[in-house]
Amino acid sequence: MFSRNCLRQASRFSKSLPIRQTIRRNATDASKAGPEASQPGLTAAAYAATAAAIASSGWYFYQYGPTVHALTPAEEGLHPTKYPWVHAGFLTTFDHQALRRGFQVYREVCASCHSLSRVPWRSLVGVSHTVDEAKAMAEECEYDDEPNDNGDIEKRMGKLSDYIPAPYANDEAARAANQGALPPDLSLIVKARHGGCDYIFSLLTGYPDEPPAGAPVPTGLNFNPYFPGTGIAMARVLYDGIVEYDDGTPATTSQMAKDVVEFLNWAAEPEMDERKKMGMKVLAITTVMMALSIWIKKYKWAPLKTRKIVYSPPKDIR
Amino acid sequence: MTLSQFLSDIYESFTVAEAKAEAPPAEEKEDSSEEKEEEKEEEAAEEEEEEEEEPEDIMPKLQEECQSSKKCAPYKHHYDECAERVQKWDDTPEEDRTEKRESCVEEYFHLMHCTGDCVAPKLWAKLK
Repeated sequence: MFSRNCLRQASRFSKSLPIRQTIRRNATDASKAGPEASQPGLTAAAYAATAAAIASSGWYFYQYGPTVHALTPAEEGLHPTKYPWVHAGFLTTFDHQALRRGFQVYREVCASCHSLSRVPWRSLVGVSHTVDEAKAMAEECEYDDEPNDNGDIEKRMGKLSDYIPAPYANDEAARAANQGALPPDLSLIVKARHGGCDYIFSLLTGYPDEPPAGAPVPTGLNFNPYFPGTGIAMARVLYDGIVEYDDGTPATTSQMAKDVVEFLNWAAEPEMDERKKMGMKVLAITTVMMALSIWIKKYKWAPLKTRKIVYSPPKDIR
Repeated sequence: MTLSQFLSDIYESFTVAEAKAEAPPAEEKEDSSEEKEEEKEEEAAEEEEEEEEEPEDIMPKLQEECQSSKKCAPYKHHYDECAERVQKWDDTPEEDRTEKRESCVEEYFHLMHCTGDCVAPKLWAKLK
């Protein structure tokens, strides 16, 4: 069938050839016959078409060419620098000494305005503090107790199972104390902001000594290039030596910012170390299973691969 | 990530030791001695700090170095020019002002973007 079709088409093609040649011949004849008659109109049409083409594409680029930004760069904020965080690697854990220092920075600096409401004292145990240290810190705080026999709610010392207390009773109290600006809860802040760790580190260390020339800074706000809109209600809080570290690390602004950001990343992602360890386990087990499966396959197939089927015909056939 | 770092990461992740939150009672003595040592170290550190008074941040220094580096110097130049224009605007009396007051935020952004990229690895090499 197929071969027959091919033949038929080929024959058709061969038949059509002479017709084309005749058409071409006719066209050349026509151009020779009347060049003066057809040329001016055609040229004008070509010019008009070209002009229309240029105009329409120009109009298109005028309409859709320039990209429109909803925000000015200042409104968008400066994109944070990428920093080589130690915990950002595939197999690296948090630097737990940094977590300990970071918690100290949070407690002594940030905690006066920012809550850490999703982190209980117990989660610090074995991560940055020992049981006794965590207990001691919890006991420094007061919590509402169960109602007593008269129905009054008394205060009790904190326990490991209590959550780190917030500086304000509620958001409204927080706003009232901070000129209308709400200091956000920091438990998940690293996950809640574009740029994560880089953004928060840049924000904490990015306050210039004085705002750039001509930059409008509304009253009550501070200039920070990394904050969208550049006007941030939080003033610079980290100054060299504001905290004294237990381990003798010099408490410079950048060191404190790095430590507290690492701590906040732990607060937002406390399962990270375990997760990476689990990933390693999965890889280890799958490699072992892979090796095992290959060996077992070899073993099972060995008799099949090495067998030989031989046909020896009987010699005397009559 | 270099190969050696990757391999060392694998080694570390296989040999990771469980962090014990609560020290067993037998080791307490050792702990206390360690604590004493730590205290001594802390005292020594405190003395050092007292001598130094306040630790100085290296970040501003690095930023300054980076701003004068070959890569970021043009941005610094642009920013300075802008700041000059703004200063000029401020100095002219109000009747003579023809344009609006310029803002150098964009120039500052370009400068800080370049500076940040330059500072990041150097700063991380110095911080603990």
